Amino acid sequence: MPFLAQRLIADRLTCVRGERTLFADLSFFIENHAGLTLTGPNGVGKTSLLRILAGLLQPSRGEVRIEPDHDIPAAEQCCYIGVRDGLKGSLTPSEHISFWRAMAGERRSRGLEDDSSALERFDLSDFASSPTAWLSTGQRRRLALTRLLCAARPVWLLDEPLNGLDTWAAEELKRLAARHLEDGGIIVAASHQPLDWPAMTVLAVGEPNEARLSRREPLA
Amino acid sequence: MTRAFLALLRRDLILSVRIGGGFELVLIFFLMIVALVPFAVGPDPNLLSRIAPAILWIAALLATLLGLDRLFQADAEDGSLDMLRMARLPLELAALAKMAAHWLASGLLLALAAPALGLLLSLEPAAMLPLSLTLLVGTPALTAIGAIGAALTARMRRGGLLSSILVLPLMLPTLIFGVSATQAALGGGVPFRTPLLMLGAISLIAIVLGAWASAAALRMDD
Repeated sequence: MPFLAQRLIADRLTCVRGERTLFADLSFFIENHAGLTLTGPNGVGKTSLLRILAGLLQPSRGEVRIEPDHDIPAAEQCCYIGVRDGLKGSLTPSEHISFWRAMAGERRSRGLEDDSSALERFDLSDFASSPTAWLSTGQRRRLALTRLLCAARPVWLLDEPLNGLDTWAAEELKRLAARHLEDGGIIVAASHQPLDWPAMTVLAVGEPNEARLSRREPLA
Repeated sequence: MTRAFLALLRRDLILSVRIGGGFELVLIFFLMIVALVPFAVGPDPNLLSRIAPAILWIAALLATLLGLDRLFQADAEDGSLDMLRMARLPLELAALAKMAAHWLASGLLLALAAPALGLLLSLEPAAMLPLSLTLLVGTPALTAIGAIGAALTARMRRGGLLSSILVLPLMLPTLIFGVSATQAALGGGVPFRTPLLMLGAISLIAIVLGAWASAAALRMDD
């Protein structure tokens, strides 16, 4: 089931927080089947860049486009999993899943037949009907990541996706990412750990490698 | 889109009845304020019965404020607001769903409980039904106006107090027409219908403005 989006374009993005310019005139584009890993020291603007791509933060200059846009705003083609996991302690994992699916209201991602299979994917079936407050940090993180499966959106924006995940869950996420790219999706992930996912190019935010990128060469 | 709206409404209702949701606290708080009044003004049935509609309305207003500070703040803190902002459901409708859930778990309950609590203030039996009706028609305005303040202060650590100060003056017209409608039902110059219709109009305007303005406030950059 190929995705509609062909390319995600960041056009001369500038982000100023307070008095500090985090990055200026950052341009790149990512075609489908490809991904971008954002690296760089803390405070360099990785999360801000992800939030700009997600439409949650207005860039001081520049714009984000998805082409062709099919009259859907860029933000509605992205699924952003931030550091804050968006989970409610008193809801159960399966209530979260059905809420997310109702909110997405879109076609399903491949391999997601029903709510329970989304939980199985990250080995959360045993906790399906216990309050989320009882889950461990890693389990909460896994539950947050199942949101990727609830909305079939072409662009995945992941902030530190490996945080708190054990080896098995990290491998499972890698498998999901690989399949998403195969399906024609796009992934942008900010990570301190190296991501050995296929077709991911590294972009060091805040370093002068924008010169190469701003020539609008495909990254993958 | 209807499905997403109902899912959000349902989620907020579930959250409010589960542990920490605090919907029962709204009722208890309402009861407490009403119970305090006879101690403060003295047990004179005539006086109490005259001020009962006003007391019940003020108590309802304060009880509504109680849950409002967390209306958007909880979602802003845990990151679910990001998801709501990126959902296909317009943020205005998301705000409307959250307002509806808040009203069902506060305003509606207060309207239903008011006649029983009126007994504590020797509210005249003839005024019980009109009082419930005015609360039913008027409390949506309180929720909607309060939602604007809640949205503006969603990202502040101690936003609840500031939000109350911002919205209380805006709730005055609702209070005025709510109390005067109940007084009118007990006899007086104006028929009951006139202030009640005004109250309904205020509620309708507030719901539209509230959904639109709180969505605009929530879209501000963090």
